[in-house]
Amino acid sequence: MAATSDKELIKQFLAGDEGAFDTFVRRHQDRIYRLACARLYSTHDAVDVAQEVFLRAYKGLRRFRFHAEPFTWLYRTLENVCNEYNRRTVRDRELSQQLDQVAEPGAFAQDGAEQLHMQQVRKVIEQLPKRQQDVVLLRIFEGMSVEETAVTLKCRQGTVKAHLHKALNNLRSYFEALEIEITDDE
Amino acid sequence: MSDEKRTEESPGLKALVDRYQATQAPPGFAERVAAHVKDEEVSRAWPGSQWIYGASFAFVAVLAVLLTPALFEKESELQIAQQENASQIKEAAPAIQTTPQPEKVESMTNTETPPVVSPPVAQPSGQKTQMAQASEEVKKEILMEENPLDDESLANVAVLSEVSDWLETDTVPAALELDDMPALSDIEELFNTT
Repeated sequence: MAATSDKELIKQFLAGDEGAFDTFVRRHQDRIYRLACARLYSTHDAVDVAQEVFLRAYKGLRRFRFHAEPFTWLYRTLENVCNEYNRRTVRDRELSQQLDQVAEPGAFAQDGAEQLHMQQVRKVIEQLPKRQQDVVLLRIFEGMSVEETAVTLKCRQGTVKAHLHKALNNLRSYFEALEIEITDDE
Repeated sequence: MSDEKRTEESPGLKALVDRYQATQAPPGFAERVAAHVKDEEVSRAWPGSQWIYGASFAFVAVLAVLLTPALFEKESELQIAQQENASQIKEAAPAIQTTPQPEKVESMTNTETPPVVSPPVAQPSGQKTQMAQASEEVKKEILMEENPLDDESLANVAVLSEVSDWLETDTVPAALELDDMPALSDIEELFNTT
């Protein structure tokens, strides 16, 4: 049986089915969380941001008019919340990172590794211009198709391909330089 | 060349992407969202809070409407009282400024001798304003009420008043004869005793 589409879920939710919203959350929670991790300085912040995105979705979906895909709307909300969060926390970024390391010592090894990994992703992504960042995150990291990426970013597929081509060239240069640096260090 | 193949060309990027895709939201994330959503739904569904806010606002508004006239009334009463006080002070102020000498005399009589009752002293016309005279009389009446004088004190005060008037005007009142003037020794004695 084919899975219910996002739009169908939202229609059910608007008709009063709270379970439909829960399904919608479970369907997108990992993706939203990962994207938040890639845009923020801390994985703990990413949990809060992802939660805030779904809460805003819950409030805002009542006004959803189905002109766009629900995930497009969710992605835009994520960008806004991440920007707000980064603006708010950029000044005490270092303190935030220290607190993250101190918090939950039992889960430190796993959280610390995940945090480190996400910081690497963030560092790679930040090498690119904003539009290329979006394309690489959705197409390469999230594994979405060119069509899905174009729908999410509200642009043509050709635009996605062009951005992707430039972005991959940039990243290849970046990784080559990185490998040369590592080889030199060894 | 496909994007996947291009990604695989770069081992660093491939490793990063694989690790990224294996990352999941923390366990219980959806439940936490559901709990928050439930709180939101409860606060939205229960109109009681809105009723409380509305009723509170209406109560405050009614109180304001009821209390504002009373407050204005109190304020106007206060303003009237302040104006009256200000006019009394204005009346008293010129007297103090224009007649320093009688004041000195009065202060002396206050401390040493019984207070002043004004005897009919000849006033040089045009030297004192009506306001100053009125305030002086009021002061004297008050002092009289507080400390009634005997005859000797009254006489002394009359003499002092005359002297102070002369000092102020540098003229001897026309109404007074030379015989009526006190001798200088008497004045000195009077000052010494007081």
